[in-house]
Amino acid sequence: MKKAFTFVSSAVPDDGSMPVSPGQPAIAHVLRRLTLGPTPGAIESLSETTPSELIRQLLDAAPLLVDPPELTEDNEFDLPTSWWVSTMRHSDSGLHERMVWYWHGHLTSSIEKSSGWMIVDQHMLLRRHALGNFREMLREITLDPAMLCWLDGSESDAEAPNENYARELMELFALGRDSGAYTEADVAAGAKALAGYWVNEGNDNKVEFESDGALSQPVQFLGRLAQNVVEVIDIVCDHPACARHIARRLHIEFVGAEPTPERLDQLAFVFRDNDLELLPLVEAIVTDSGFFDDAVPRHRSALEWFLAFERLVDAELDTWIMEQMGQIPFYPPNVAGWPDPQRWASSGQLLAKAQTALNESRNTEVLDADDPVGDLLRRACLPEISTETRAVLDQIVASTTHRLELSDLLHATIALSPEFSQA
Amino acid sequence: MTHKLSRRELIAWMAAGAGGAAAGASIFANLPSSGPAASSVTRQPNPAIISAARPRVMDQPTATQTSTEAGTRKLVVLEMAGGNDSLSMAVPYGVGAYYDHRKQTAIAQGDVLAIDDTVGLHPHLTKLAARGITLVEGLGSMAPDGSHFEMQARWWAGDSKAGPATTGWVGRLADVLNDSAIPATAVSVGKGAHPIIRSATGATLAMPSADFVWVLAGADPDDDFLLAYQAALRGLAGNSSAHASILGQTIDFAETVVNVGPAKDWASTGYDDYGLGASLEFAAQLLADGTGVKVVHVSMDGDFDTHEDHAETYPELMRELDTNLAAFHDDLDARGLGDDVMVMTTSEFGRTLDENSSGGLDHGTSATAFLSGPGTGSSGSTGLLGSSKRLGDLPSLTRLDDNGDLQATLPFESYLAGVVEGWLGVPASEVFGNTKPLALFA
Repeated sequence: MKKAFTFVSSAVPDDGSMPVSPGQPAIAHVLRRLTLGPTPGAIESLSETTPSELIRQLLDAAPLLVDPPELTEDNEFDLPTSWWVSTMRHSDSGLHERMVWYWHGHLTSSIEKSSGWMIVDQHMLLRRHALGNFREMLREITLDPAMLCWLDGSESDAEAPNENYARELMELFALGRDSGAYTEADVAAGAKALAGYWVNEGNDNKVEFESDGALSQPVQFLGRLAQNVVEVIDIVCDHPACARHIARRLHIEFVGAEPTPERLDQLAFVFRDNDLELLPLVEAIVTDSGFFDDAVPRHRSALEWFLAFERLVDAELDTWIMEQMGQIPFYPPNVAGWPDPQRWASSGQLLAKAQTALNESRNTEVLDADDPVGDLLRRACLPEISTETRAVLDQIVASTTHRLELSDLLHATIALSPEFSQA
Repeated sequence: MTHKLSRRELIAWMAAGAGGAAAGASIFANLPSSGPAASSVTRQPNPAIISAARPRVMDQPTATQTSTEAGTRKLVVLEMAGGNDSLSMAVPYGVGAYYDHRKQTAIAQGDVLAIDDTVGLHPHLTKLAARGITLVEGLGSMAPDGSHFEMQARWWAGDSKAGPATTGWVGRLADVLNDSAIPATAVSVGKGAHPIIRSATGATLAMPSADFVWVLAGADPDDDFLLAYQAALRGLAGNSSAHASILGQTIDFAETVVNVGPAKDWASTGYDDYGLGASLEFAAQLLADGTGVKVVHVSMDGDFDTHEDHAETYPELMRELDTNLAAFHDDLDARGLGDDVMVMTTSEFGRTLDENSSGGLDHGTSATAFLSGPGTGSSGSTGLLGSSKRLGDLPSLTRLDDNGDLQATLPFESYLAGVVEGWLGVPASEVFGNTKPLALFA
């Protein structure tokens, strides 16, 4: 029986009321889902920590504080990505860093339609609000220069407004198309109420307001009156569909599955009851027994696989390798952000990963001669593998006598295993 | 470098079925299993593939190149993702209302490549106009939606009324055309598994290029490390998981693709070496005899979503389309496949009739698609302008819907069904239920 969300605002009890599977696999699962992945040795070092204690620690951990990179015209399209990935690699990178990555895929923008400076500014905005208040984050990102460029809000005039942002604000960011919460008329009205801003690239990307391009009278929007950005965002965030949309998206992110209708009701209630504060919502999702019991395996995204592979071979690779796998931070493919996890299982993905694994496993540190497979699995952060995968690894050991070759071959092989491909 | 890898031994063992002992240890005992029962899907590596220098498909007799019977016909689905403003592609220059609504983005009457006195092609489509294409007008949904993702999902599913589905129409077509001796009946050229190729039983896969197939197939016989790695991956493919199944299929497919050369070895062609050009060059390689591929899906991504500065960005899209599609047809002709391959375009919706304040066009409704291939021009490949045709029914530009947009005259699945039945000879009912196929081919 599930205990519902009674754990929400109190510390997770360690009296056994949280039915988690004990031991390393559960610890590995927590680290794969709540952070950007375990580092070699981390699972063993947590042998005295229960999964619920680890979840508590991750919820309570302070975010990494970073200064933005110094950009030039020569590096504005490369440095933001490599700089951010280097932050992700940090050993203290935890839940907050995972949420920053999540929001980049949800409230997404691309460097390709903005600039390196703008996208770093947006990134710092997401860092500030990643586990903060959703309403504040949405209000700020609506007038964020990169977003105004990416979804064409800049220079939109209420007389003939650009509908791009108004539509995606409701469809993708806050309400969800299937909610039935809005109509085409709301898209048009929202676009009018959001108009009047432009990004002044000649003045440090300052967002300027031009009253000539804005509404002079309020319009009907989602059944209320709205005339400006603050009113539009408040009306959107007050709508019951908003809390449900965000709760559903985050449940899918952490659990890997749709919440049941009852569970979604509970989570949306928690979110609204906490004035759209994100931390209590995340806490409600990940401290519930459903975090383990309902978890559905999903494929690692290209970024997750890239970071895990770097740790496996103990090397920092060129972040552009991810481009071959279709996922480069700050370069989302479209306004919906990254594709759903089902799409990460393709022949093209496997080819790109096999090529990377082959090329980048040529100088691995030699594995423990007494237990090369055990040593490999520690480096791969895989406490459990199938007997089938183990048989393949054992056979490589049995048929390879040169220790350097063996080490390289084992690393390249485990990287393409079904277990290593799952988050 | 000396290493004593007993490759023969390893390969022999892998070939014997590395994954025989299936135990499927899940991470948590109470997690649902990631795949069906191990025994039902355990993949037995095919010894013929591992030991033979040439893949099996190349050893099979293949259909003749010159026949135009339905059995040798192939299809390319070219998706203009983002929502193509077909009023700029197939311009209704003879309709006054077009110029009333389009003040900044209209194509001047004198610039269009006229098909008749109503519609003409964008001025950059010179090569396609010379070959002759068939426009199919008025496509859309009777209950349109303004969302990219909803309308893309409907087009991929092949149903103008319903959104996301468990299978895509190309996947269902692959179910019908499937041949167990062929690793992939339909391929989506791209980095991620595409919903349009989701099938029940048909073998489909997604791959962006042939660049990396050497990792999985066709290794230098002296490269012991690569050979051992390929054998190890073949061993992993014996695993009882969905991931392993895709790996095994990818290895099989790589074996066939490495034996089909890129276009450069056949004919020097005019493809761009990026974007659509690179994708179509790979598509031509996939359609060459020996791969068994019947359907290729190629996406021209994103940039059709011209919310802003349409007049500045759209011409380049048309140049890219014209240059690379013409190069593709030239490539197919050089390979002897010109009479076998039909290209059909799709796009999730057209764009608004009215312009917005950004010089752009927002999400619209109905749009025109086109066919390009054998017989799509009324006088064939004669090089004469004006040989293109119009089918379907161009929506009125004055009788608009409540939002001021065009009203579709034909559910788009009639067009998809018409190609499937008319070109490939597959009964439309097997892929599209009771959809009435549009007659497209004389």
